[in-house]
Amino acid sequence: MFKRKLTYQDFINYFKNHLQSKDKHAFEKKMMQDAFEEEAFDGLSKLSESELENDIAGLKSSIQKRVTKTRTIVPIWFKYAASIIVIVGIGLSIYFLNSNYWQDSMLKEQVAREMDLADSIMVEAEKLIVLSQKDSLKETDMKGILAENKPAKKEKKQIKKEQAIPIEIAESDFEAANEMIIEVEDVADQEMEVMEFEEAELVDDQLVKMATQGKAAEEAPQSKKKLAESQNIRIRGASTPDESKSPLYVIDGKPLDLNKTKTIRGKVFSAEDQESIPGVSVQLKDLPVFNTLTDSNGEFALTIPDEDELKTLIASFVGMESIQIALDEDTSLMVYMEPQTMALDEVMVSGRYEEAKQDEPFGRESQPPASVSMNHYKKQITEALDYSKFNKLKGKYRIKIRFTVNADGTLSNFQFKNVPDKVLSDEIIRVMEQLGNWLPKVEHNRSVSSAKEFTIKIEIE
Amino acid sequence: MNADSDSELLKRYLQTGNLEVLGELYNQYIHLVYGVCLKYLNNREDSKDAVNKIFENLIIEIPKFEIQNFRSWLYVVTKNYCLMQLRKEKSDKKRFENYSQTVFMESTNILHPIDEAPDSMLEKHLKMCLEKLKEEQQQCIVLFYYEKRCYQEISEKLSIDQKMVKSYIQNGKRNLKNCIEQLQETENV
Repeated sequence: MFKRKLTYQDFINYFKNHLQSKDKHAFEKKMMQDAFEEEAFDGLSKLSESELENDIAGLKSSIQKRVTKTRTIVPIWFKYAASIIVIVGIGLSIYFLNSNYWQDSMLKEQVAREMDLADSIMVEAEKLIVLSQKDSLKETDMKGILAENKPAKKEKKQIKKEQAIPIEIAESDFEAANEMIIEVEDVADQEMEVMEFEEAELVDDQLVKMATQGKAAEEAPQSKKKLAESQNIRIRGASTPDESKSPLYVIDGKPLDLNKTKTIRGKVFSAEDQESIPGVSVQLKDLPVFNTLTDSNGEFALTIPDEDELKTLIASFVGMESIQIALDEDTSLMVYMEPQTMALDEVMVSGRYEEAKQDEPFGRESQPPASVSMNHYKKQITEALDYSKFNKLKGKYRIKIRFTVNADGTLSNFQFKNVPDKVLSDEIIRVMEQLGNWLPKVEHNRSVSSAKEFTIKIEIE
Repeated sequence: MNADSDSELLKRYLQTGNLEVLGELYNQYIHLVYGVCLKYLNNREDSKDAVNKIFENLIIEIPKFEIQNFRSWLYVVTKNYCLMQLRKEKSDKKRFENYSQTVFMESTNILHPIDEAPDSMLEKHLKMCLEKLKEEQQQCIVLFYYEKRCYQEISEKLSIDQKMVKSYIQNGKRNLKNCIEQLQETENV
């Protein structure tokens, strides 16, 4: 028997006691000859037969699962690529969160308006160009450049594209636009004259050249583009010198002149009690960028562009109805605010009182005699000690005392730590017994014995 | 079940990388691996984990070595894994020490003279040495090898624990071997 290596079945048979004594002996003998089997035998004999069979079956199936698990082949670089993408993603989101470009919807609106404005300028400019071209019909070369309407419209589109920085364009005002148009007309009128503007020189040279060569008509689109560029440049050139005058804000499609301002002063009161209200937000209805808060006296001063279109202020405050104030010639206002009438949602506040848990009725921990506090008890001990018994043991000691409070309140099983001499521990026991029985621990209405431990400081002089 | 089919499977696994082949190979030894883990870790759950982790280790380790005998290699891997686990558990230092002692005492890899066919000279030495053994070891060896009793019968007869029976036999065997080797040396000299 067992000429071969032992199998799992042999082990099972052995542990299930299915074997005869003789076979058992053979199994044991064989098993002891192989270190692997022998150690496994030691381990397996710790289990009951059912545990053994269950565990092995479980392990076999788990290995089987592991083996048949279809492993999606993930390239090594995948992890790195994924982490890089995640990092980049986080970086971008942080960047966008921090950039305030989208936060200010007001600014967006502003930009949109300014783009419209810029367009309108260009449309008008275009009209004027067409007009000027009609005027100078005789100047045949220039006519070639600016002739047909269709290319002109294309030009408009091109101009729009050129003006990728609309704010800068918008900063130019009508003057600039007009100036430019005058320039254009000048080009028409004085075709051979050298232009004053440095930026325009090159382009204008080209225009002149083309005009003289008479090819302008053929190369119209190209030169128009150039013209657009020259306009673009000129608009910028014109706008830079008087930027302080340039309108950052527009209303009803018209730019505001910030040099013409007026200051509105006023005081805000509560209509309820006639008290002034500090911290009220006051802003222009149409241009909320002009805003302020009332000071501690409820007074405010708001400087706004002097425009007739701006005629409404809004005052708002938490708990008050927002109020619109019409502006007229008067620049000092008295504002009365009504308390907000909107009712808040009803909030129910409820309390619940839970009875103390009844699981352990009248349960309590053990307590020193007469229910004195532990500190008091310790003091009683240190005072009652007969120091004359151990005056040789000079020094300070922190002694840990463990003992059992029996169910009848008597003390037993004293154990001491850090005690310098048995004399001292015996004395402590004597004193504690002298101080009387403890109140035993109570559980489920019954006194039980419990372990107690405390540390006491004793100083022997 | 034999070394041939083991190396056959191993070869196939290395060629194809098919885990099912490795699983088939490992399956034959799960009970032994589990048993060894139980012996050292002394905990069913830890041992089950160990069986699974050792399998994962195999997947990594097998390509690195040229394995002649998978069975004994697996034994070494298993044992090392368990010892590493025990070393990791600082709190269980004592347990490790306890076991490492018995491990070294009982390990018997080479065929023991007592397991071999009788040899007149050897028999003489064996008997001499047997006399020298401690009483329990001697009793257990005699009952096991000469009367062919199993652990259970011996433990009933001597009223000692079955585990102790095995331990006595193994330690007795070790002592016998040392004793016989000494005798042979002195004779050769």
